[in-house]
Amino acid sequence: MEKKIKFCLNGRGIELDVDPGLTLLDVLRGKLKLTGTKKGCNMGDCGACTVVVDGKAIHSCMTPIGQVKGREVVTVEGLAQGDKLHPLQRAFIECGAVQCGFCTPGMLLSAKALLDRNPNPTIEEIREAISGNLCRCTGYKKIIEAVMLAADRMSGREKSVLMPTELSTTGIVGKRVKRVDVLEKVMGKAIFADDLSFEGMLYAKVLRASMPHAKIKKVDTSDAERLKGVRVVLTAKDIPGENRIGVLGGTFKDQPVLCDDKVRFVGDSVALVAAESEEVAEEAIKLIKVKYEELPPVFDPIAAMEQNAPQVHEGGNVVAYRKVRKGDVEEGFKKSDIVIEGSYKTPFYEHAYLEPEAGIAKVDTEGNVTIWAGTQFPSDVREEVASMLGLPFNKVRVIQTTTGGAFGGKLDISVHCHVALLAFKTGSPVKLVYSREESIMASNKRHPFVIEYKTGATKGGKLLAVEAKLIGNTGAYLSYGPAVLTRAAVHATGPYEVPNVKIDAYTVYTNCFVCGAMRGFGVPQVAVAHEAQMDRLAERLGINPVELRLKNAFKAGSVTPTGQVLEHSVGFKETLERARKTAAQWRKGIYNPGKSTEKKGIGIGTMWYGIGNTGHPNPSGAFVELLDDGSALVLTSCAEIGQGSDTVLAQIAAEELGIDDVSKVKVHSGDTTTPYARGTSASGQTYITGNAVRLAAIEAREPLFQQVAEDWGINRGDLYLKDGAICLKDSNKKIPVVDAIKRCRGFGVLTLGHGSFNPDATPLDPETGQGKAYATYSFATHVAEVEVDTETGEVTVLKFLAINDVGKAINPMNVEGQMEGGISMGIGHTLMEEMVMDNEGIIQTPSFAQYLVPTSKDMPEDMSSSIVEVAEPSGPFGAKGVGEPASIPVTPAILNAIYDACGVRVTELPATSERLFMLAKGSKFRQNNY
Amino acid sequence: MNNDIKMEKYILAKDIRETLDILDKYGGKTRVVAGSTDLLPLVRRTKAKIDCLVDITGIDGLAYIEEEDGLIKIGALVTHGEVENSPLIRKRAFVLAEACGVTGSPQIKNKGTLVGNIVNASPAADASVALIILGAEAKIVSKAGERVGKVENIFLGPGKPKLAGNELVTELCFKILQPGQGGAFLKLAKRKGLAISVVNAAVLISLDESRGICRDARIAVGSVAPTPVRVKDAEKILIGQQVEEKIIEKASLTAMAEVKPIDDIRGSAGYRREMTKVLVARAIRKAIHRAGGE
Repeated sequence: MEKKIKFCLNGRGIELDVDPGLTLLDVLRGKLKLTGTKKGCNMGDCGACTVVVDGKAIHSCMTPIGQVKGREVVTVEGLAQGDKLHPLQRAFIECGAVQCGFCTPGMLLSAKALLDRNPNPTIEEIREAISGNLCRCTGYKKIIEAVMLAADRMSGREKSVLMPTELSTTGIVGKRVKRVDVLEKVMGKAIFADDLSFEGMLYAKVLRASMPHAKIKKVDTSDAERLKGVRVVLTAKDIPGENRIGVLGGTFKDQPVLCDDKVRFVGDSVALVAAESEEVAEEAIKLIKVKYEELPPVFDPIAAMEQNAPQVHEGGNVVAYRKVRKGDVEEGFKKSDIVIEGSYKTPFYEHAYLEPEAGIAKVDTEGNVTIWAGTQFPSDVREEVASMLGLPFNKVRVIQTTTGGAFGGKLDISVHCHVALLAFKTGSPVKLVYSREESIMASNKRHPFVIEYKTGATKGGKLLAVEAKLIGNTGAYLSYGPAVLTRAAVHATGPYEVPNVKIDAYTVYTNCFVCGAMRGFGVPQVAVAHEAQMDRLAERLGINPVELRLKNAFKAGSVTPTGQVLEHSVGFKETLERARKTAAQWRKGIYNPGKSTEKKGIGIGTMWYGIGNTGHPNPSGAFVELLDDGSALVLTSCAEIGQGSDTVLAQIAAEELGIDDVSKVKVHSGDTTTPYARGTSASGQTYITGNAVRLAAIEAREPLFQQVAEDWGINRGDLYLKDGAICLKDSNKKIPVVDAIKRCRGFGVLTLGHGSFNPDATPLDPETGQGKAYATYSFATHVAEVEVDTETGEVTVLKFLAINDVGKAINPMNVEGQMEGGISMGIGHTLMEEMVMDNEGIIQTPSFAQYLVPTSKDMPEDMSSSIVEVAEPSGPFGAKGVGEPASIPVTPAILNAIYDACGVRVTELPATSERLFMLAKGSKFRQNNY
Repeated sequence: MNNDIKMEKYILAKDIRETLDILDKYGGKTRVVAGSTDLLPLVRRTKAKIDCLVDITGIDGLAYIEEEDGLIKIGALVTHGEVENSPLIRKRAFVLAEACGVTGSPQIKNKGTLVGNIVNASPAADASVALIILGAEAKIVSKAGERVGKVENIFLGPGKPKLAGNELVTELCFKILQPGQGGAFLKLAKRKGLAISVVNAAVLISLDESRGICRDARIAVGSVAPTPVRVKDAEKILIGQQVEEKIIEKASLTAMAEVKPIDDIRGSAGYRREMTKVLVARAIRKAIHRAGGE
C-alpha cells in the first residue's frame, strides 16, 4: 500500500511515511511536533484544531492525513512570516481578542480562510466564519473586532473599529496594555501541558467507575499487567500516603485518589495504567476486572436529605449546614404589607474550558517530584500530591503550564495525583491527557441549587425580611461544597438592605458529579432567585424594577446580612443608574405589534460579590526584584488562567517601580518554587496577589531611595519616583532608576522586595453567620433585551449591557474581556447549558455535541460593557475584582427580560425553547413595563 | 501518537473501479470515507471495529454541480459548503442551499459531502429533507452495475441507508424548480450556530400560476422519526386548494399528527410534535411566497 504522503505544509513541501488513516491533527502534533494546533474535543465540535487546507478551514481532527495528499496546509505556525506577524495576529493582540489562548490558533485559521476568500467581510460574515470555533473566555466580541480590523488593514482601508478611549490614568495602571503572554499565544507557541513531552515518557489512563454507587469487592489487574507495553497498573493499595484529597483540606478531604472502599459516582477513579503508548494504556484499562457490589444510589438532594436515604459517605448526606441570622424575620414578615414566595432550581453546569485536563510528572534522582499541568491552584496541587505520596511539601514542585481556561474547574485535583503516583512508581515521566468526554465525566460541576425564597416588603417597596432555604447538591464529594453554600448564604439577599434575614444553606451528598467551584461560587444560583423576587415584587407593587432596587440598594454605610458595615467602594447605585438610562433608551425602540409572534422585552439583573474567600485567610505572597537594566522580575505562584493576572501584576509592579512598559516586567507565575499564592478563585488575584506584588515592589525600590538620599545628603522623604527617575522634591534634580540601581549594586545592595497580603475578613459565627465575610465587594447591574419567539419558545438576546463596579480597572481591555466573556457564559447558562444524567447516573451530555455552549452566533449583536470605578482603599490602586461578577447578573437579566417580553416567569434553568414553550402553553402572552 | 481509528487498512482509492473492488472484497466491514465529518466521530464514539476504510477524496471528477436538461447533478464529493454557495443551486433549487447553509459549522460544511450526509442516514440531517421534497434520486453503483434510488426511500433508520455493502452512491440528481414552484427550509435547534436540528422541515409548493391554487405540495420533516419523513396527508390538504391561513393551519396540524418523534437530549416527543406544526406552517408560508415571486 502506498504510504508516502506528500503535501505542502506552511509553504514547504513535505513527505511523510505514515498510515494515511492517522488524523492530520495527530500527525501535526505528534510526528511533526507542531503543537500550535490544539486538540479540544477530537470530534469536530469545538474547532480548536482548525487548519486551512486549500484555502478552506477544516477540522484537522476530522481529517485523515491521506486526504491532504497534494494539498496545501496552513497551521498557526505558518501565519507569521519570520518575525512579521500576520495582520490577524497583530489585530488579535491589539484588540484583546486572546485570553486563555487555547482556541486562538483555530480561531485565527478560520478567520484567515475567511479573509483570503472575502477581504471585505461584514460582521455577520465574520460571525458565521468563526461559528465553528468555540471560545469560552472572550464572548467573541473582541475576536470579531480583531478580524474586522485585520480585514480593513489588509485591504488598505482606514480601521473601522474604533479603539475605546482609555479611562483617566497617569501611569501604566489603567492603560489598555497588551497581555504579556499574548505573542506566544497568537503564534501557537504557548506551551499547554499536552504540548510537552519527555524522552521515555509513559502514557496514563484511568479506569473509571461504571456505576454510581457500589462497594469494590475486588480489583483484578493481572491481565492488564500482562499486556505488552504496560509498565504498571495501580490501585488504591499502591498509594504510599494519604488516599484522600479535597481542596478545603482537613476533615473536608473526602475524595479518594483511587477508590478503595466504594465508588460514589459514574466517573470515580478506580485504577491507573501507565504504558508505552496511549493505545496500550487504553487496552489495558479494558482488561482490569472490577467486582462490584451494587448499592442503591441517590441522585436527588431532597431525597438524599431523608433519614433512610442511601448513605453516600458515613455520617449522613447533609454534610454542612450554614445559617445566617440577622434581626427577626418573623417580625419582619408580620410588618410586611406584601410577601412574595418563590421556588427556583438551577442545574449542573460544566465549565467547558477549551483545554481538557492534562499533565506530566517526572521524578528526579533525588526523589523530587515535578508536575507540569494546567491548574488554578499550584500551591494546593503541591500539598495534595505531597500528602498522597507521603512526602514533605518541598519534595514536590508544581509548574503550571499555560492553562486553557478554568473558571473554577481547575482548582481541584484532576490528573495531578495520578501522574505523580505513576511517575513515582515507575521512575519514568508519565503523561495523562483527558479526552473531552473524560473531562466532562470526571471534572467538577457547578452545584445545582433548590431554593425556597420568601421576601417581605412595605407597600412603598422597602424590603423588611428575606428568608431562604438553599439546598446545594455537591455530588459524590465535597470539593468546595460547604464554602459554596456559605458564600451563597451570605449573598442570598442580593445587594440590598434587609433588616431581617434568615438563611439556611445545606450541602448535600448524592451519587452525582462532584460539584465544586464555578465562576460565581453559589452566587449565580441565588442571584437567579433574588432578582426574580425583586421583579415580582416590583410588579405587584407597581413600582419600576430599577426604582425598587434603588430604594433598597447597598450604599456606603449599609449593613450586610452578616452584620458587616460596607465602608467603602459601594458603586452599586451607579451601576443601577446607568442601567436605568439604558433600559429607558432601549424601551423606546421596542414595539410589539399584537399580532406578531415575536415579542421583545427588557430585563435587569444585579449582584454583589465578596472578593476573596469567605471569612477565611487566603493570603498571597510575591517577590519583586529590580534588575540591573531597570527591568523587573516578579515571582509568585499565582495562576494565570487566561483572565490576565500576569499582565495585571506586571502593570502593578511597573507602576510602583516607575517602569513605563510591561514588557520590562517579567512575571514568573504559577510555579511553587516561588512564593505561595492563593488559588485563582473568588475574583481575588488582582486584589490579593496584586496587593502582594505592590508591596513587594515598594520594598524592592526602597533601597534606591535610601541610596540616593545618602548620596545627595538629603532626607529620604524628599524623594519621589517619576518617569523612570528618582526625583528631588521642588527641584530639577533627578537620577534615572537604572543609575540608582547601579549605585546600589556598587555597595552590594540588592533591590529586592517581598510582599504578602491577606484580605481583612473574620470567621463567621457558626450559629448566626455574623462576621466580616469579605474585605471588599464588587457590584454590578446588567441589562438585557431579548426577543421571544412565542410559537417556538426560542429566545434571542438582542442587546446586552454589563455594568460592573470594579474599584479600578488596572487594565480596561482585560476587564472588558472578562465582562464580555461573562456575558457569553451567562447566556449559555441561561438558555442552553445543562449537564444531564439519566436515572442510573449515566451522563446524557457526554461531549460538546450535547453539552452546548454559545457560539459566535448566539451572542447579541449589540453588546457592551461599562466600567464603574468607585475606588477600594485597600485595593491596589483602588481595584477589587471582576471575573465572577462579570457573569453572575447575566442570567437574571435575561430571565427578567423574557418575562417582560412574554409574561412567562422561568424559575428552573436552563430556559430552553422547549421549557419556555411548555410554560407559555395556554397562558396569555402579556407585557410588563419597566 | 494516538491512532484512535481502529482498522486494518486505510486505502486511498484511485478511482471508482478500485473503490468498488474494495467494497466487494471487504463486504459490509468496510466504509467509504469522503468528508469524514460523520464517520470519524461515529467510529470513535462507538469504537466500532472496521476492517477497512476506503477514502474516495482523491478520485477525480466527483466534485461537480451541473445542470443538464433541467436536471441538477451533484457528484459524490460535493460538500455542503459548495452546495450552499453554488450559483446554480441558489438560482434553481434555493431550498437546498438554504438547508446546506445551516448544517453544522463552516469546518463541517467545508468537508462534509451531500452524498455522505445521505448515506449517513441521520434522521436529523438538514439536507435530507430538502432533497426529499426536491424528489432527488441517488445514482448507486456496484460491481454488479448501476441503479437509481429515490433519496426519500434510501433511509431505513438512524445510520442505516438502504444500500448493500458493496454499493457506492456517486451522484444525486433532481429537477430544477419551475416558475410557480417555491421551496423553503426551516430548522429549530438548541443554539444558533453549529447545532443538530431538534426539528427541521422542508416544503415545496407548486402554484397554479393563473389562480394561485396549489397544484402540488411536498413536505418533509426531520428529527421526528427514525428517518426523515414525508407527511403526505398534510400535503394532500394543500393540493388543489387556494392556500390560505386556514388551510395552512389544517395542513400543519395534520403534519403534527403524522410524525412519530421520540424523547431525546435535544427535545421531548411532545415538543417535537408541536414544533413540527410550527415549522411546517412557517415553511409553507415561505414556500408559497417564493412560489409566487420566483
